[in-house]
Amino acid sequence: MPVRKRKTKKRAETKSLPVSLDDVVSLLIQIEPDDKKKFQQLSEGITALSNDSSLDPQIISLAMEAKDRIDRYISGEIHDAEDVLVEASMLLEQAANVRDTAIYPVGNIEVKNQKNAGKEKGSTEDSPVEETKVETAPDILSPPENNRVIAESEASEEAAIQTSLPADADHELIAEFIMESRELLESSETALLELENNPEDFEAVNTVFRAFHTVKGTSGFLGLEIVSKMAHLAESLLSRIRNKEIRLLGGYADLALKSLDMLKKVVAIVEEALRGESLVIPEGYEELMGVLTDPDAVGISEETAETLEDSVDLTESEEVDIVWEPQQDEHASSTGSREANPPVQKKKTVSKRDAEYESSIRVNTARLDRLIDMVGELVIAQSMVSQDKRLLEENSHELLRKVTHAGKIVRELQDLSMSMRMVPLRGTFQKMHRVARDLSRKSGKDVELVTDDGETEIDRHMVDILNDVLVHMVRNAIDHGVETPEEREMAGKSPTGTVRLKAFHSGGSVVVEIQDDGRGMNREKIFQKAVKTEIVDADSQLTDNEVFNLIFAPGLSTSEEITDVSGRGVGMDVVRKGIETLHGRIDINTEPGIGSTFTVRLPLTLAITDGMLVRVGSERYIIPTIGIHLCFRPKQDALSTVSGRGELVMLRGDMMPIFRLHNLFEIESAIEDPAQGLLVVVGDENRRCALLVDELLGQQQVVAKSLTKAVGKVPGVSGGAILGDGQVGLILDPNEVAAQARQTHGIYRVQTMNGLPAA
Amino acid sequence: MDSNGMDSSLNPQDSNNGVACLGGKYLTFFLSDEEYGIEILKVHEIIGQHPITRVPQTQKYLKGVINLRGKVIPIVNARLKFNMAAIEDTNETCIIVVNIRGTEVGIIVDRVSEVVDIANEDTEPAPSFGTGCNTDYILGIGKVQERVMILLNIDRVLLANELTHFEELASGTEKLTA
Repeated sequence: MPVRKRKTKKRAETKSLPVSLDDVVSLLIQIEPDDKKKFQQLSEGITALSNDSSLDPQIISLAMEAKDRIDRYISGEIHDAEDVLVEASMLLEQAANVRDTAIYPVGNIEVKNQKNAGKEKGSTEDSPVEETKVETAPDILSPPENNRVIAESEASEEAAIQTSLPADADHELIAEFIMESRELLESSETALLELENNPEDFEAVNTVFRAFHTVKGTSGFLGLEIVSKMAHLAESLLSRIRNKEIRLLGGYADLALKSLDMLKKVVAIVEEALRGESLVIPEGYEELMGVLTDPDAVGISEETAETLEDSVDLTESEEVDIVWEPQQDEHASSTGSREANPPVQKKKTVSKRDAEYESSIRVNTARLDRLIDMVGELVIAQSMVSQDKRLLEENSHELLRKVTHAGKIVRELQDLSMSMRMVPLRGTFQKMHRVARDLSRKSGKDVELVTDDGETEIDRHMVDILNDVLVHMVRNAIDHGVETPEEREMAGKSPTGTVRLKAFHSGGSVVVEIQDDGRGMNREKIFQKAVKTEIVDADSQLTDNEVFNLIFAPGLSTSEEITDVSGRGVGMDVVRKGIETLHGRIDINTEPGIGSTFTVRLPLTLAITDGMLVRVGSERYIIPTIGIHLCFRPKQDALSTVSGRGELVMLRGDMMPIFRLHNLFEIESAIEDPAQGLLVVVGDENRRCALLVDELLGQQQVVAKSLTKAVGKVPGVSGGAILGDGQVGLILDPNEVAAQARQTHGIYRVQTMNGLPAA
Repeated sequence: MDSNGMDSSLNPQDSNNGVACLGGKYLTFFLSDEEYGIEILKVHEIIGQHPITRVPQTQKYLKGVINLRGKVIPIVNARLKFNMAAIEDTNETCIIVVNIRGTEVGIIVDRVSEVVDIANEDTEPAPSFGTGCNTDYILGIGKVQERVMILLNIDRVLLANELTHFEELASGTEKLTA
């Protein structure tokens, strides 16, 4: 990493100090288990560090201990690189903690060492030990003036935090830091939530601790005080948990999550600062800092105040070292050299994930998209070649064979490139746990969110939108679906409500299902509300499904009062829009007293659309296969006209309106008689309608291209695609077409049954 | 001077102040017997006729979209855009592909003429025809020998109306029929 090196060198010049502890730590973090050269470098770095007389002797002794392990690994005395890395990083972390205690005098850092841990919390600046350390500190941490700022501001209890990035900030490095921190913070959120359910999971504690520590270290190194201070205090909290002083329950859990959120916020602010905005201290930053400095003082506790269980005695802190491992190597853990730890299963999945992570590289998404685009073009170009008439006419079997062969390779390439953009839904599901947790606390309901393993993959581009959709659906399920514990008990259910979230593949699409065991939807209540908000007329005759679909209408909420959770009628509208954007479909299934199930059906990817090519007059359109229920040619007696309300067709006992695409799109010379043409049944479960087209030309996979940039949003058209003959075909959005047709119905010419104009 | 001209054209908001430097190279084309000029740096390429896919429910002057080597680009009929009568395609009809803020747009014109170099002193600011006639999309008037040509602010021509139109369309589809 040349960039980082340059930075180090720069510092070395200004400080005439060959290496700092931070450098060594960052080197250690980056090290690959099988890279002996790096180990050598590390060892040398520590040697250099130990020559620095200004350092606390305790730091040096810890560092030398780490060096000893590393040297023994280099010399081949120890074989397991993992072990060495674990031990070395533990030692260096301790060293850093010793140093940090000196630099940040207020933060009551618990060093593993019992002696230090027992030290008075928040020991004041006048303590002689602290003072000497503050003096030595400038030599260790980046710009000396920064330290003074920290020390001073802490002393005056008023954080004079920078309002802009440091003048010498390396933007590239900061950008890298932002990306890295995001990842770290995300993984620690998962770990924190896990930890809350299983407070003994030290694996998770260490994940979070490490994440905070890395964020702190890097941000301090980059001079991003706003981040490093928060990370530091958050780390202190975690270190107390790690040292078994407290457990991550109740208030502490909230506090940890809050500081995580704050960290995310400040990282986002730094990102904005990169774009030239000024660094604004987010709301609540100061308060949180205050609380974190001494959580106990403001009455934060485990709530469920219990003393540590007997089984957890202090000797277990030894075990921490064993449980903690970087898990970069699956094989190392399977050698059996180590004792099997209790959470075996969990660890396995974690290490598998890490292994995946290790063997991946980061690619600019724009480049990846371009690649996928180009492959899409290749597929089309190939099909243009293979469908060329001359190829078939010339009767050259040899040539045909070659073209077919190329076609196979192209298709394989297409599959491969598509899979590159697929990501598992795991991350999205994990976020939902957080949503559910927060909401169940806020609403006083006892809700358990059960998700599957989230291995189902979906296009990366869809994940963000799906995320928003699911957030609102989970909120809806918890807020509207699940009852309060009292109500549940009265209804004879378990007081804990369950919301199940699962995803699976079905028939070429991804199905995401969210199921609650709550009270179900109240038809009457929704209908009344819809009448009240003037979405429907009071005398409308609606089917159950139509009524339930009303919840997706903007402005409709069955909540009696507006809370910060729900009641504005926005949530489900977001769901509807999101699913529309994703070209998906949502179905509702609800049973009063038993619960509701929302089924979202989505295409695997937005890039390639599986479509049916239809002809209307001289025009061709693609209707996404996912939106088509069926196609049929109606018998004359199935057609009927309702005066002023257009045409209807009877299909298996259901009446549905017919919309003429040629009328809507003003196409001449199209088939006018439905009995001569073909009806394509589209639309949501309960709002089906039939589109009249001339004929089906066949099924085709097309690469959807946005038209918005070219011609803006065209109602009823979701995009364009290049067809086999090189011409552009428009992809229709059946739902939009139907909605449009309904809108223009008033000015629609009523046709008689045989298709001739009525007048 | 050239670069000044460029700057003003990149920023159409202040490009029709008249005093801007309009000198430079222009691609000229004909619509019936009127000659128009487009700054050469805006022009991407000139292509012959392509099969155009009509896009329903859009403005009349938007002829549709074509496939330009894998890209879908819109085609605008300049005659219809300027409220002139449409004519049948001839073998001189062609499409000028211009680049507007990163988006390619094709313009159907009757005939492409030539590339001319117009000195700054041979240009005049856009004339004002009073309130009835919007001259926003005209950069100015250029004179080459005895010919007079209208120098187009192509960004304005293709963006101004479109944007508002598209916004209307977008808001129209927002409404949900219950």
